[in-house]
Amino acid sequence: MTTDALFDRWADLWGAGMREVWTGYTTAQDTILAQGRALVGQTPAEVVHTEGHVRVLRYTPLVERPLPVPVLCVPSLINHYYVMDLIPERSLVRSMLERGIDVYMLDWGIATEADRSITMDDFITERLGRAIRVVREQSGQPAISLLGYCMGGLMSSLYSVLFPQDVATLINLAGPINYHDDGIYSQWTHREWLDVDLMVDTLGNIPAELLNVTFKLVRPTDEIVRALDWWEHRDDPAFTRRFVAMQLWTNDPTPFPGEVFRKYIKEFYQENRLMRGDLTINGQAIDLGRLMIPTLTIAARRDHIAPWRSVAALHDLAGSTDKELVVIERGHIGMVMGHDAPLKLWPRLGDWLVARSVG
Amino acid sequence: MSRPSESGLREGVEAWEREAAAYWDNLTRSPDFLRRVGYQLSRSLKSQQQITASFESFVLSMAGMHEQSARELYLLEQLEQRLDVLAERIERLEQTLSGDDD
Repeated sequence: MTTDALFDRWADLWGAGMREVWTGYTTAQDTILAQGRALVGQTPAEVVHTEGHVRVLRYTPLVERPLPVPVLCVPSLINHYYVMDLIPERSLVRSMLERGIDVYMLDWGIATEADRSITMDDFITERLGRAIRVVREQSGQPAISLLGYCMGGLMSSLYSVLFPQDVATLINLAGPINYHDDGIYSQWTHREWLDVDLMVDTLGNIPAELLNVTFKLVRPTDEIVRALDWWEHRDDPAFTRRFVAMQLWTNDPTPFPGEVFRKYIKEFYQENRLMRGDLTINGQAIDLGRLMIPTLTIAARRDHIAPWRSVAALHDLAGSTDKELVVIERGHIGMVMGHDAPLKLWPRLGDWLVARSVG
Repeated sequence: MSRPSESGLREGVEAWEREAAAYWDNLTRSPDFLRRVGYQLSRSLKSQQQITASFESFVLSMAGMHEQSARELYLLEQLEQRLDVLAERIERLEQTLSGDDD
């Protein structure tokens, strides 16, 4: 198919009704995003720790006696935490609470200029470390469970290797481990065309708007199908609720702290040091083979952001004898909050965690 | 409310989207394309660095000029004070001299 042929066919579709769909969709964007803000992250919780804009939340248990070992959810550094608590009917957090799990959430907040020079090592050993300490103290447990999503999965895995005494079990949910894969980001971040030093030295923190555009550029035409979805169901309140919440999250990244971006792109994407075995965090070598705690790795077969084989590498490398790999037939976001997440992901994750949360 | 997608539009759009996405994916994995994008990105970032450096230099020179002006103003004030003192002395001297005449 040539570019001309694609444009010709698009012109036909535009004339056949897409003009009305697209105009309606783009006109409604501000309303969609505003409605989304009121819907997301509504599960009741109290803030148990604050450090600058970093917070730790403890969700109100839904059972009288929650299971002893709590879980701390660790989202990606560049996305809002509410992805795991989107709306009540699409909330991974809520599903865990219903199973009697004591659930905490790390909210990284929105990086500011002051975070520009904070290193990835500090984010892992200091900020994540302090959040874990708070949860351990609150629960009275010597070790807790970590549930990391996307980049949070990577950071949780690294922390677990460094401080195994603090972590009872690890769940890596779509956190990439092997960065030399067939994923589009591995291509885009190649050192031959991406000068990461120039980016960080010029921009400091990588702006959220730039990240948002980059995410959309992975499959820009996806927006057209989304517009059609919205158009067809715009009179359906239940669909609209889910749609606006999802739209908000996908359009709502947070800035990437500059020095973290430098290390992440250079040492993970460009040099794949974690797989090569020469990654260090605060001078300590990271060997995933030293990961001896129970480990659950969950990958999504149609994940464009963290290709499933990249995620599954944790399962291959972890030294634990209690380890399990689950591959779900969904994409990166759909696996967590898609229409079949309550059937495919949540029960497997919940069962695995409940069995290991009894202390 | 009209529902254009009910008339088979969805099938057409989904088929088009799959082909367009495959075309885009192929294009954006091409080293030649990525080299060109990378080159443009680097040029934009270097331009931004130059603009920032020019702006900072301008701000510093303005601050320097301001400092120079402040120094000159201070010297003028000092000079004015000395002239005032001198004028007072002359006046007193004139009064003394006119007293001697009397």
